[in-house]
Amino acid sequence: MVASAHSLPIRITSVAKSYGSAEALSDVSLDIQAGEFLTLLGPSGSGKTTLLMALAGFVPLDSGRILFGDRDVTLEPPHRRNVGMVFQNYALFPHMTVLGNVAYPLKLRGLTGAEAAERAQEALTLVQLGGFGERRIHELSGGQQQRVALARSVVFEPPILLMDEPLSALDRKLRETMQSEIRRLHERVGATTVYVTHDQHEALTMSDRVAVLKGGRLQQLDRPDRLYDHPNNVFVADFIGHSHLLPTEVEGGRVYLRGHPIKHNKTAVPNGPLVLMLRPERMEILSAGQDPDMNELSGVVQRHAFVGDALMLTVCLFGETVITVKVPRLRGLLDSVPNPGQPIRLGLHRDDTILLPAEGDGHG
Amino acid sequence: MGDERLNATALRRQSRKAYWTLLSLSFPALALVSVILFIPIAWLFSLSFVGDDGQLSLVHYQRMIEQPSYRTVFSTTFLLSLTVTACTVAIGYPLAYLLSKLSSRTANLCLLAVLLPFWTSLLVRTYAWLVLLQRRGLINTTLQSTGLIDDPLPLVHNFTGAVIGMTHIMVPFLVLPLYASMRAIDPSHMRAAANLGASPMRAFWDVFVPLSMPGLFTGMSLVFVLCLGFYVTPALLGGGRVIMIAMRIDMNLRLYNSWGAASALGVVLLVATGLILYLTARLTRLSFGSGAFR
Amino acid sequence: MRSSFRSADSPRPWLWIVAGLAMMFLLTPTLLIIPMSFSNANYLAFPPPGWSLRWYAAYWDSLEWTAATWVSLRIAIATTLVATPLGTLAAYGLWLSRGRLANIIFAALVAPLAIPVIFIAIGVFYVYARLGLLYTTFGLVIAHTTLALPFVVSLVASALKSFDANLEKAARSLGAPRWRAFFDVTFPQIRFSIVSGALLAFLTSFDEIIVALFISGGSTETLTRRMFTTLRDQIDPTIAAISTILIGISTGCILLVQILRSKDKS
Repeated sequence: MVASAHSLPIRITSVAKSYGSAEALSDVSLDIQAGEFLTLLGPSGSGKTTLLMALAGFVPLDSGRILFGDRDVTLEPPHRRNVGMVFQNYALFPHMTVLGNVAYPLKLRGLTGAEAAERAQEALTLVQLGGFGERRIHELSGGQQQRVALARSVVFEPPILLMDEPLSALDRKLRETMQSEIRRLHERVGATTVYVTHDQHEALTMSDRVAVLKGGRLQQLDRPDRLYDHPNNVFVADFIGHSHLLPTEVEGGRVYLRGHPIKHNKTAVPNGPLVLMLRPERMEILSAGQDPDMNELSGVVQRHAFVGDALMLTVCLFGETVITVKVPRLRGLLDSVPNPGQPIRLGLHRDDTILLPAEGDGHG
Repeated sequence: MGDERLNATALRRQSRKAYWTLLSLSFPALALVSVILFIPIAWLFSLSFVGDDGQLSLVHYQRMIEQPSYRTVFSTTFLLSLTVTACTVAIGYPLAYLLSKLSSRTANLCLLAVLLPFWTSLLVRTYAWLVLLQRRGLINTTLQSTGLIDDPLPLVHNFTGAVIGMTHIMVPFLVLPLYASMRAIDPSHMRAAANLGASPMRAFWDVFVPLSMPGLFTGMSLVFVLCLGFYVTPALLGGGRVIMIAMRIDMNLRLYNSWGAASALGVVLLVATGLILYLTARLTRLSFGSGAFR
Repeated sequence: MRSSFRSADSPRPWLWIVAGLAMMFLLTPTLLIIPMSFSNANYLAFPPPGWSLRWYAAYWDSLEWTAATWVSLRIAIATTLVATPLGTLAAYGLWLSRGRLANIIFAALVAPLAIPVIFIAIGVFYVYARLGLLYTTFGLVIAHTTLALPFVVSLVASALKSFDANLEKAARSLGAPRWRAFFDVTFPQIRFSIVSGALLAFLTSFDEIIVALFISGGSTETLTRRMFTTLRDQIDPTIAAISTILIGISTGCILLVQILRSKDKS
C-alpha cells in the first residue's frame, strides 16, 4: 500500500439504493484507507458495480453518505468529484487521437494545449504507449486501448481511481499481464484505487484488501489471505477458492462430524447449525498413528485426476459425501497416495478447521 | 440514523431535480406540438358535437349516416384505398423481395429508386402523372402510335387516374417497411426448407411469405390509412369526380362554412386511422414509440 | 441439388423483370418531366418537339412564381433552424431520462406522422384564425416545425440508441459538466444524423401542401400552394420547369442524407 500526497481515504456510510423492489445496495458501510488498493468482489447482482458507480456519482443513492477525505461528496455531480475512472469497454473517444483522449481531462482543467500535450505524453509513456499519441482509437488492440484508458484516468493525478471490471474483455494471457501493469501503476501513482471484479483470482492477487458483496450487502472485508483462510460465512467460503461444506452436529457446546468430535480453535461455539469447511489443498494424507491436533476423515478413493501441478483425488467420505483432495506432485507425497478403490485417511489440522454458520449471510 | 434519513431527503430531491431538468429539454418541442396538434384536435373534437344552433348535439354525425352524399364519399374513399392498397402490394411486394435478396450495397443503390421518388414533392409527381395520362399525353400517344388503341383512353380526371397516381405515391410506403422485415428473415429458413425437399416455389410460399406477413401487414395498413386521408392527388387526378373524405372536409369548411360538419368528419377519419394503426400494431406486436427508450 | 440450392438464394430472371418494371414505374414519371420541361412548344410532349429554356424563363420572369418560391425557401430554412435544435434537444433529453414518461413524450412528438394531415390543417386553421396567425410567416414556420419534428426526433433518437452512453460518463468523470460532455463527445458522434434530420426537416417544409393550402396566402403564399391552385385549372408547362428544379433539390438532399448516414455508420 502506497500512501501519497495524491490519495484520499474513502468513507462510505450506510449507503442504500433500490431499483423498484430490487435492492441493489442495502446499508453498506466501508472505510477505505488512503492509497489502498481495494477490490469489490462479488457475483453479478451483488451491488459491486452499483457501489462503484455511486462513488463516481453516476448512481444517485437513496440514502447514505460518501466522504472523500474530509469532503462530503454525496450530493456532488460526477464532474466535480475529481476521480479517475476506467470503464469496462474503455469508453475512449473515437473522434480524438490517443493523445487527444489523454489530454482531455487536462484541457478541462484549464491547461493550455502545449502543457496538456506534454503531460499526456508523460502519462502515455507511463503505460508504455509513448509513440502512440497520433494513432486513432480504432487502430489499437484491446490491450492497448485499456492502457490508453488507464493513462487518461491518471494523467490529472486524481486522489482516487475507480475501475469497473477493466480486464473482463481481454483474454487470459493479456489479463494477467495487465493485472501486474495496473498494480505497478498503482504503486507508481499512489491513488486510492477501488477495483471491481467478479473474478476472485484477480481480486486475491491484486488487492491490499477485498470487500466481498452479495445481494447488495457486504459479506466480509479483509486482506486476501485472511479472506481465504478465515471466511466469515458459507458464501465467502464458497466464492473464494474451492471448498467443501460438510454439515455437522452441535451438541452440548461440542461439534461432531458423523459422531466424531471435531477439534477446533473456536473459544465459544455459536448457536445454530454449523458446517465444516474443507479446502482441497488443506487436507493431509495420514500415515499410521494419531496426531492429537488432527481431525481425521476416512473415506475411499474413487479416482485420480492429473491437473499439471497437482493430483486431484476424488474421495468418497463416510460412504456418501464426495470431495476432492488436492495433492501437490512432490516426490515424497506421491508415494503415499492410495489408488482408486483403496481406503484413505485424511487429516485436517485444528488450525485449518473452519466452522461456519450453516446458512444466510452475515455482515462483515 | 437521523443523519442518513436527512441525506435521504436531500438525495431524493436532487435526483428528482435532475430527472425533471433532463426531461424538460423536450418541453419546448412538446409545447409546440401541443399548441399545433393536441389543443386544436381537442377543440375540433368538441366542435364536432356542437350543432348548427350552437347546442350540444350529434347532428353532424347523424348526417354522416343519413345523407347519401356522405355515403358516396365513404364508399369512394374506401374503394379507392382498397384498390390502391392492392395495386401497391402487386407492385411493391416483388420489388421488396428482389431488394431483400441482393447484397446490402446493391440493395441500398436500388433502394434509391424507391427513396428518390418518395422524397420528391407530391405535387411534382402528381403533376407528372397529370401530364402523362392526359388525352394527348405520352401514354395515350404511345398506345395509339403502336396501334393498340384507336381513341385515347380516359386515364385521368377519373377514378383510374387517381388510382394510378396514388399507387405511385404509396409504393415506397409499402416497400420500405416490407423490405426491412424481409431483410430480417433468416435465410437459413429457406435453406432448411430446400434441404427438407421443398422446391424454391414451395419454400417461397410455405416459408418466406408467412414470415414476411408482419412487414406486409404493417406496410398495407400504412398505405391504407394514408389513402383514407389523402387530398392532393385524388383532387388533381380525379378531376372532381372522385370525392374523398379529405375533400369533403374542405368542402364542409369552405362551401358550407360548417365547422361542426368538417370537424365531425375529421374525427371519423382520425378515429378510423387510429383504430387501424392500433390494431396493426397489436397484431404485429410492434410499438410506435414506446420502448424507444427502455 | 447444387443448382436448386443456388436458385433458392439468388433472384430468378422473372423477379428481375417484375421488380425492374416496378422500379421503372417509380422513376419514369419524374424522370420524364425533366426533358419535357425543356420543350419549346406550348404543350408538354416526350420527346419534346424542340429544346428551349422558355419555361424556365417564364418561371424566372414571373413575379408571382418567384415570390412564392422565396416564401417557401424562407419558411423552409426557418423551419429547419427551429426544428433541428428543438428536436435534437428533445431526443437527447428523452434519451437521458428514459422511463415511461419519456416514451409517452416521444410518442407525442412523433404523433404528427400518424394523424391525417387534413385534420391537422383544419385544426391549425381554426386556432390560427382565432390567434390572428393566418397567412403569417411565423404561423407557417411553427406549423411546419411541428410536422418536421418527428423526422428530427426519430433520426437523432436512433443515432443516440447506438451511441455508447459510457462515452458521456467518461467525459463527465474526467471533469466535464453535462453540457460540455454533450458538445465534446456526444455531438461529434451524432452530428451526421442531426444534419440528416435538418435536411429532412427542410424537405418536409418546402414540399408541404395541405397545411399551407389553409394557412398561407397572399404575400405568404407558398410555392406548393400556388402550384396546386394553378394545377386545378390547367396544366401549365411552367410547372414542369419548377418541378425539374424541385426534383433537383430533393434528389440532392436525399443523396446527401444517404452519404451522411453511411458515414455515421463507419
